[in-house]
Amino acid sequence: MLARNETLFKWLLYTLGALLWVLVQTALLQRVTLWGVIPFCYPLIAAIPATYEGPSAAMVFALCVGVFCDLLLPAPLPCFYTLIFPAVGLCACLIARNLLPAGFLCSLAASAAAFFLTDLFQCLLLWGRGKAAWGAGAWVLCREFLLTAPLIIPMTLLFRGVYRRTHADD
Amino acid sequence: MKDFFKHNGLWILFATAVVAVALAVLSVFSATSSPLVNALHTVAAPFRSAYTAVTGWLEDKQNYYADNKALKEELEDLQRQLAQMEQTVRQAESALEENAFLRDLLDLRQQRRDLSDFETAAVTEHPVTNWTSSLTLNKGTDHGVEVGDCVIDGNGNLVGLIQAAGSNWSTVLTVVDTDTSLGAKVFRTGDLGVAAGDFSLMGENCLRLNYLPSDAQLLSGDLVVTSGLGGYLPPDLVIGSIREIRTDASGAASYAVVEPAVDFSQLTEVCIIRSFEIVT
Repeated sequence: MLARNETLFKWLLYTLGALLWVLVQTALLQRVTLWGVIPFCYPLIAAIPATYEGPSAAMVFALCVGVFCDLLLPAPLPCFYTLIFPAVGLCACLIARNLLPAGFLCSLAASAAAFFLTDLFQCLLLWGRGKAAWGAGAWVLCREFLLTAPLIIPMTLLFRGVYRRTHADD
Repeated sequence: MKDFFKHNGLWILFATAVVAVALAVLSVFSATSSPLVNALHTVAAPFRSAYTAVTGWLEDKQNYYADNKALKEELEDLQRQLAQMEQTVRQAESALEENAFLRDLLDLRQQRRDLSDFETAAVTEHPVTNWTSSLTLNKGTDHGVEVGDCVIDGNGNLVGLIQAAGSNWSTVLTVVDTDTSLGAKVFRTGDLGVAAGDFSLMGENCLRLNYLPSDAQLLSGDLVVTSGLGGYLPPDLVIGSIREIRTDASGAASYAVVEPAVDFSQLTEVCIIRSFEIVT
């Protein structure tokens, strides 16, 4: 059990790590187009820290990432990421608790689930507006995930470092 | 010493006189130089050459270092000049681009009297997600930009519509985005339809022209322009050209696949139409 100031310090480090990845995304990644898509690391930012935390903390952190994304990115709904990222965080946390121990493999599974949920929600909204595009959506999901997957390694290293630094006494 | 000169002074004086007389006589009878002078210089010549060689080598070295230093300074100066010239060239290229854009715009302004109120803007960001086709511009509400304003390129081709605007930024949804829907007209036939983004076609950088009349006789390459109906958009802005005609999933209606006239990935400057006159 962490003391209050240690908990604050931990979430400060998670936030700084997330902001670093936002910087990488905006300054670098979104200028790289391969297979017609850009790497998209925001679902990873919501999912990977969640694999090291409990369900409530994971959901709250993912919710904050979602709010940030909604303020930053265009989306079909004004609260698109705010709605879907808590589910992404919870899913990542459940994978880490029930299927795979937190680590690279777990991050890979959590990231796949994050992309699946986010893009499924996009497809559902398109379908709801009478512009269904399941095939095109699935194709974008595959390319987007394959292009972003290499980022799982450095991101896992970063957030695992934060977790180990703040849970050194556990 | 005193004794030495006392006893030998006379002899020394005599010997000196003899040598002096001998030298004088030798110099009188020698055509070039006296043998003694010649002998002395002959012995000294190699030493003089060696001395000259050493000083020459030292001077060379000194000149080398001086030249090297001067060359380094010159190189630095030239590099500085080159950097300045490169910067000037870059600025000139940018100015040329802007000039060409403004010339296009001037032509457009002369052709389209109804488009009276323009604001030029630079594209600062290209699409930021894989599910939308948007551009971020460097002009916003401080420059009179409003949501729904029409964005065109220098040739009058439609880029999209302003979706959100802040004080010094705005976001444009391009014509291929799934949220875009506009009244459109086939220029050759006058057939009306609705040009709308479709996610399946967004990857190919195309959009759909829906609700076409059943008797529409469209051809590949037909120009699609804004209809201007309803007064939301100026009429006759080029959206793109028809690539092919397809039948929808139900098989009951057909739609046209429209290729935009604008290459969004290459856009650097655009023009926001803040207001326009409705010509009747």
